[in-house]
Order: sequence, then structure tokens, then C-alpha cells
Amino acid sequence: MRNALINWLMHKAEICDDIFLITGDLGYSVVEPFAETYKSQFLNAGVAEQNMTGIAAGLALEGFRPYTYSIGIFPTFRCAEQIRNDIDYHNVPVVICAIGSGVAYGNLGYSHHAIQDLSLMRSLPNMLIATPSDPEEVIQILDYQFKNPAPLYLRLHKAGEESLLSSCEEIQPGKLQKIWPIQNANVDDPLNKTCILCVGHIACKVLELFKANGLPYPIYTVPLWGGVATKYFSQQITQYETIITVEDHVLEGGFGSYTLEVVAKYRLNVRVLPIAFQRDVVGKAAKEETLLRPLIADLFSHLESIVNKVHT
Amino acid sequence: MKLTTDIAASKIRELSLKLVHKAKASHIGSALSIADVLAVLITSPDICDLRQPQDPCRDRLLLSKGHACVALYSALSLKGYFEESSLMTYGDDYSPFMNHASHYVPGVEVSTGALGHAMPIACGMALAAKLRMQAWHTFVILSDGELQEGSNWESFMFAAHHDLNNLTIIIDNNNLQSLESVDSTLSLKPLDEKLKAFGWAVYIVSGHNHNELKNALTSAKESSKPAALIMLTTKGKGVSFMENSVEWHYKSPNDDELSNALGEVVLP
Repeated sequence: MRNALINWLMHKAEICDDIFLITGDLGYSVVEPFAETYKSQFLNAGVAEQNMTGIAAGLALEGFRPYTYSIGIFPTFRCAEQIRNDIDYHNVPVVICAIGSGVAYGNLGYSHHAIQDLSLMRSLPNMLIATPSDPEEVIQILDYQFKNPAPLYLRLHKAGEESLLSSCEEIQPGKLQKIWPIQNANVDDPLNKTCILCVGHIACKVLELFKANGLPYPIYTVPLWGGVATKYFSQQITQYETIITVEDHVLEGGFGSYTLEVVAKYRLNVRVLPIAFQRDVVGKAAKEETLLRPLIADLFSHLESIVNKVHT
Repeated sequence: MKLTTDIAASKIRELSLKLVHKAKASHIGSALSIADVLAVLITSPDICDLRQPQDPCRDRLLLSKGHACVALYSALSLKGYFEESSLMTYGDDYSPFMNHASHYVPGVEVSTGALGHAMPIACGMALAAKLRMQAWHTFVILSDGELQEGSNWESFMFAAHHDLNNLTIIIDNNNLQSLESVDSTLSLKPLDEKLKAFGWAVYIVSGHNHNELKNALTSAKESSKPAALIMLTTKGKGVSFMENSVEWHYKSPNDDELSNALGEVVLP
């Protein structure tokens, strides 16, 4: 995903000299092509996220299109007040790019786990939340924001993610993108009253398992969402009786929490089963796959109970 | 009548006092200590050319110490950016003239209030001017107490590293912060040496002497480095019973106090 970002920036900078990439001294072996090709549109702000974020706001106020780049929670939590007051309140089109979503940096420990970032960022009134699940969605999100200038939080995994061949329809805030099954499901089948909504890279894990086990439930990614998209999102989910949300984030304030809020706000007759990290993930350092295992186990447990209910 | 710096400073003090009295608001001491530099800035287009709020060639003036907004609002009112009647909505429910600097007011570049925010934004603006080879200058007015925020020092490093000599900061060094003196809370000394060590040109001036301010600002703009004016000021300047008192960081003048204060600041 980070390569998709840099390639997109390279392409866009060629035709738009307002594009400006600022890194907080991260992006080794990623940002160099941009830095070398577009020297005057690149800045390493050093290990100083508050300043980096304020500079991005200042540049945006002067008509630039800045992209701040860092990993984990560094471009969000350290400079949360700059994002809140300087970017979001002034409604300037800065894209905050965070690499290493969830527990992508699993073994590096809690300091590098981005598991509360959605909660922080989605409370900001102008901020769109972007949780791409594959490189194609990254590109679509960037295209969308470029055409619709506004603050955006772009939560990226790392590199090497496979394409999920999502429906590739034009992305809109609140829109679901179907990744499984590709063909239309039988709507009369009671199992199709249930769907899975994934945000971010975890969609790949869920899809792998569904493919391997031939599970029939539809899976969607939700690449772009936030406070401004609740109505459209509610219209998309209302056809289902049960929605399972899956995210590599804590429940509090994350995507499952967002879905529950939307269901409550629009009084939908939809049951939401949110799958998210429990607090016991805090302080555990392990491979990403290991740390994600309880989430996948929870997903299967929910699915089993739904199947049992349908057959009894 | 020509708006001289003396008249402007007097009017800024008068309007600021009336505003905080009307709204029963705080921070009059902080506003009075920057009245003189604002008077110099708005009456000296050769130093700070504010033109019109949206003019792309205007100089940018940012108030980092957003709690002193009444002084800025008053100064912008004297520039004719809005009617005095609009200014007098200050403190009313839903007024754009909020009790901290508000970008909904014409001429206020950015909303501030949380300290340590304007410096990074100003660095972004000054960088933008350099990148686009534009001649406008960015000014930031900071308090001394707010220099305890680390974000400012990130920006000080950045501005010098990137040769932002189109950036001038004005530090309101009145040596009083929220509870007591800056020296006794968390000393900045030696502030001039620290800024010089960070790569800045430093000018120490009396913050209430208009000629000294003009000369220092002119030199600052010509400097090859980003420039800092350490402006020695008196909090509450111009109103004897408000001067150098923490009390007037919070207190709002009652009717008698307003009358006495206006008697001291309004020119005959």
C-alpha cells in the first residue's frame, strides 16, 4: 500500500506542483524516488511531528496539497492537537498518511501498535477516514480526496498486499465495496441476511479464510467513511439482518463502534456484532498474524452461532 | 485624521478595554502589552503590508497568543476590515468574534488559543512563499510563557535550518504567565542566547517604544536569518492599576474600573 501511495504521488506531482510530501523522518526505501525526483515538493521535517503537522496546515492554507507521512501512531497521537485545531478546524486538505495499521509492527511492541487511531481521528468533524484494504483502494481514495479537497486520515498497512479485486466501482464515503463472493448471492438464503464488513488490511485475512472454507457470506470492505458519511452508509447496510464488523483496532471508537452508532442514529433493525481487539492486546509483542488470531477466532465463533441458529 | 502609531495604540487599548468589559472576559493584561506593536504593524505598510484579508500578496500576521485576541480584533477594526458594530458582538453567543483568535473574523489568519500552534503554521506559510518565490513576509506574535511549549522549539530549529528569513517573530516578554512570573515558573533565560544558538537573528527592544519597534522590525525583515524580536513589555501596559499584575490575566474591569482605565489610555 505504501508503494501505491508513493507511485500515486509521483504520478500526481508530475502534473501538479501543489503536491507536497512531508515525512517525519520515516519511509526508508519508500520515499526516496519521490524525494529525488521532486526535490522542491519534498521535505523531511525531522523527528518533530507537531511541527510537521503545523507546517502541513500552513502549506495547505497557502494552496498546497500536503501529505504527511509517518508510521504507527506518530502522525496522529503526538500531534493530535495540531490535527484537531490547525488541520481539521480550518478544514484544509491535508492527507495524514500512517503506515503500519493495527499491529502490522507486531513485534515492535505497543509504542508502534496503531490500535486507537481510528477512535481519535473519527471524532474530528471534517476528517474523512480512509481504511484501504488493498493497493487499488489506496489509489481510488487518493483520487477521491484530490477531487474533493478535505482533511483525510489514510490508514495504510505496509507493502506487498495483494489485490482483493474489490468491485472497483468509484469510491464514495460510506460505500461498501464487495470482495466476496464475486457472483451475486441467493438473496432468499437466510445466510445472506448476514454480511461481513472489514476495514483495512484485515480484509485480506478474512477473505483468505472464506475462500479456503467456501463460506457463502458476503464480505465488503469500507475504504472511506466517517462522520460525514453516516447516511449513505446506513442506506448500504440496512438490507442485512446481521452485520459482523472486523477491524484491527480496539472496539472503543473504532469501525464497529461507528457501525453501532449509525444503527442507533437511523434506528435500523440491524444486529451488529463487532470484532475488535480486546484490551488484553496491550503490552503483547508478537507477529501480526499471531496477534490477529483472536479476532479470526471470534469471527468463526459468530459465524458458527449464526449457522446453528439458521439450521435449528 | 491620520492614524499615527500613538493614536492606533490608544484606540487598540480603548477598544480592548471596552470589549472585555462588555463580555466580562479575561486576558486584558495580555492584550494591553501587545497594543503598541500591533499599532506599529497596522500603521507601517512598509514593514507589514496587510492590504486586504484575502489578497495573496498581503503579509501574514498570526497571533499565537490567541487569548490576547481583543487587541488583534481592535487593530483589524482600525484597518477597516469590518465595522466597529461587528466588533462589538465580541463575546455574544455565536459571534465570530470569539474570546480566542478566530479565523471567522476577516484578517485573522488562523484560529489560536491552544499555545504553541502558530509557529509551525507560520513555518508552512513562510516555506510556501519561498517555494513560490513570493515576496510577502510572515509575522507571528507569541507570548513568553508559551515558549515553554516544545512545538515552538521544533519550529525554531526548522526555520533556521530552512533559511526562512521571510519569517519574523515578536515575543511579548512581559514575564508574567498564568500563575506567576515566567522566571519563577520555568525560566527561559537566556532567551536571546538560546534563539541565537538556534540560528536566529535576535533583537531586544522596548515593546512600548514605537520608534524602537519600527527600527527593529525593519532590520528583522532585512536579516538573512529568521528574526526574533524579544519585546520587553509590561503586562497591562497603559493602565496603572493593571500593570504587572497576574490578577488582570483573568479579571474583567467593572464599570468604575473601565472608566478609570479609559481615562488613562484615551488620548486627550
